Formats: sequence, C-alpha cells, structure tokens
Amino acid sequence: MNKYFLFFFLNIFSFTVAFAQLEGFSTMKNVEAFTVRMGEEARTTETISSDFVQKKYLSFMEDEIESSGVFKFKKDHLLRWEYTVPYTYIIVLNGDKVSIKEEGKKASEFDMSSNETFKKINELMLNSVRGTVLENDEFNLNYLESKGEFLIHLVPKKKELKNVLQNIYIYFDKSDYQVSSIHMTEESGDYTKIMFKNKKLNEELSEDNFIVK
Amino acid sequence: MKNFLRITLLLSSVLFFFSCNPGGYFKLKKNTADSAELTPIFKGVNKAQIYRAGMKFKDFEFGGQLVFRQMKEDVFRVVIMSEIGVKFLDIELTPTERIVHQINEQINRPLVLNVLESDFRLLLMNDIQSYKSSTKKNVNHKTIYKLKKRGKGKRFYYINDETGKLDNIEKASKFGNKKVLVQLENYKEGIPKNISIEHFGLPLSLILEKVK
Repeated sequence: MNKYFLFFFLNIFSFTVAFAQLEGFSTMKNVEAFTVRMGEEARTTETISSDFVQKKYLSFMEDEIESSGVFKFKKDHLLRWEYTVPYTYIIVLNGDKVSIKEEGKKASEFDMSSNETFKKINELMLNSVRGTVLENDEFNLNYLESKGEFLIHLVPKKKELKNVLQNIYIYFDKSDYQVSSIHMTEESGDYTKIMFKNKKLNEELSEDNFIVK
Repeated sequence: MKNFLRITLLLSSVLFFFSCNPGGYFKLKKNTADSAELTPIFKGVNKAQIYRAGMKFKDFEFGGQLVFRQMKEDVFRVVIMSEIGVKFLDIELTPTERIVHQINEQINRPLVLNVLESDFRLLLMNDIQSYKSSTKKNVNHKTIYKLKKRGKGKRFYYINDETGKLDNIEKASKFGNKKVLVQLENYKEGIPKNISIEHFGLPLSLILEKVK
C-alpha cells in the first residue's frame, strides 16, 4: 500500500526537500527487510482512503499556502485526489485517462498518452501497480531511518524530471509502515509538504468515487 | 460578377475600417490627465495575492493557482503553479526587465512567455510610467485613461466614476485593433475578486478568482 502512495506522488507531483530536513536520520540498517515488508503491504492493500493537508512554501511569501482534502485509491489503477479547502478540485486517474472536476464546472477528461509528462506518470503508476516502485530506474534511492520513521529519498536521474523534482522524501511510520508525509523541494528552496492522517485501508470503496461528471 | 466584386470590395473596406477602429476608441478627446493619476491596483499591497486560475488555449484547459506579490517599487513576482504545487512559471517583472526564475519546459516558448508577460504587465501596471500621451474622457460614467508607447500599442484603463474602481483594461494595436480585454469585478478591500483576461485573435483566455 505504501508503494501506491509513493508512486502516485512520484508521478503526479514535482517535489524536493532540503537535506537539512534529514536531521535525525541515518542509513537504513535492513533495507531488504523494509523492501519485503513494502511488497507485502502493496500486495495486501486493495483500497486506501486518507485525509491530507498540503502546504506550499514560496520563498517570497510570509505564509505557506495551505489546502486540504481527501485521497482515495483502489487497486489496480484508480486514484482520486480531492481538494475541499479552500475550494473543491478533483483529479481522478483511471489508467491512461485523467478526469478533472472544478467547482461549478463540468468535468473535463484527457488522455495521458498524448502528453509526455503524463505518459511518464502513467508508466510510474504501472510500476507501482506491479510492485516495482523501489526498483524504478528513473530515480536514485536512498534508504534512511530514525527512531520512529523510515525515509526514502528519491533523486531524479533525468534532466527533465530534475528540473521540477530535485528531491522527494517520503516518510513512513515505523509502527505500521504507512506513509505519514511527503516533502518535495525545488532547486530554489521552495517546497511542498503533504501530510496524511486518518488513513483507512481495505475499506469498501465504490467505483463511483472514481467517476466525476 | 461585377456586382459580386463590388459587394466584396465594399465588405472588405467596411471590415477593414471597423477592425481598425473598435467602438469608442476614436471618440476619445485629449484632456489634461497623465498616467501618474492612474493608481495600479496591486501597488502597495504588501501581502501576496493568490488567485485560482483557469487558462484556456484552444481546446487545452489548465487549472491551477496564480500568485503575485509586489517585491519592491514597481517590481512584482508572478508564479503559476498546479493545484498540487508544481510550478510552471516563476518570473519577476521590473518596469523594464523580465527575470525568469523557473519555467516548465512545456511552456518555455518565447511567444508564450511574451504573451503572459504582456498580460501581467497590463494588470499589474508596473510599467505605465514609461507610457506617454495619456488622455482621459468621461464616457458613460467612466474615466478612460489612454496610454501609448512606441512599439507597444495602446492601453485603455476604464475607471468607474461611481466606485472609483478599475472596471476594464483594454490593449489595442497602434491602429486601434482590440487585442486584449481585462475585466475586474467584485472588489474587496481594493482588490478585485474576479479577473478575466480575453484575447482577440488568439484563442487564449484566463479566468482568475481570488482565493485569499
């Protein structure tokens, strides 16, 4: 299940984080055990629902831009990313199709395969479904841990990705191997933080959740 | 056949005449105002302004956020990013320069950048001091400021005489062809909640709604 979160963000967002945020973390002692456990989580997770809070920092602003909403995933390839604050905005991914629903407007749909960026995202999504996220050759991976968390640090290899994603840091709670937050920083120092809470696994999720009109 | 040619010629002449003289422009009479009387709406606003942005180019639609902030006198930072925080564009506009801090490769085209810069300058008005021959005229309860600059065409700023707010901005070519129309509505504390930017001759439009 953690892999699904991981892949989703790898493909949908451009993120980086400063090394300063790694304070308190050291190299993971048993990467193999972690990888095996991640694989198990991915295999046994059919659905995920979670609330999230997103904070965007721009260096020229005093305050972070905060938004929040609900994230839903259903195996194998259905994702719904719904912002509810400060306004409603829904993104649904279903295979190669992306549907976007804005408040007060009809949903629009487009094919990811016609867009190179989204195509790349789609490939990464497929990797996640196949459970090969940690073997993804688009990124260099660093495995770290602290007393309470595991951390995977991803560095894009390709220039195109690096231009928008300098680093991606995904934090997992050691107690349940669930993603607790994702931090992404850009070369400029600007960053995005997404924090998850109230996660629910394997609850019934109707396919209606992944249809927007 | 002769009649057809005459009609065609007449229609062409009429179309040419009107395309070069959009309604109202040629009625303006010179007055004594200058651009210094025109107050940029975002000048002196210390906090960053965040707008929900909907951009449409032909059949392509983009949803995201537009953030701008005055950094110092007549210098603004403008960022366009997706809902999920991915920056597409981060530029700084001084009265004479455009500094690109970050740009997504997909929109890194001179034409796109020039159009966006032109639209933002029209709205932010941080370069109006370089425009000359300002005139104004009270028409339909509006005071119209006309600004001209060689090589940049004309701008028209419509101030509502009742509210004192800037209602519309128009950009026209030096021949008077309307190129861009900006509409500003629902002001709160001096800042418009809704802004629309429409292009003529270019299938591009931008709708902005203030977030906070």
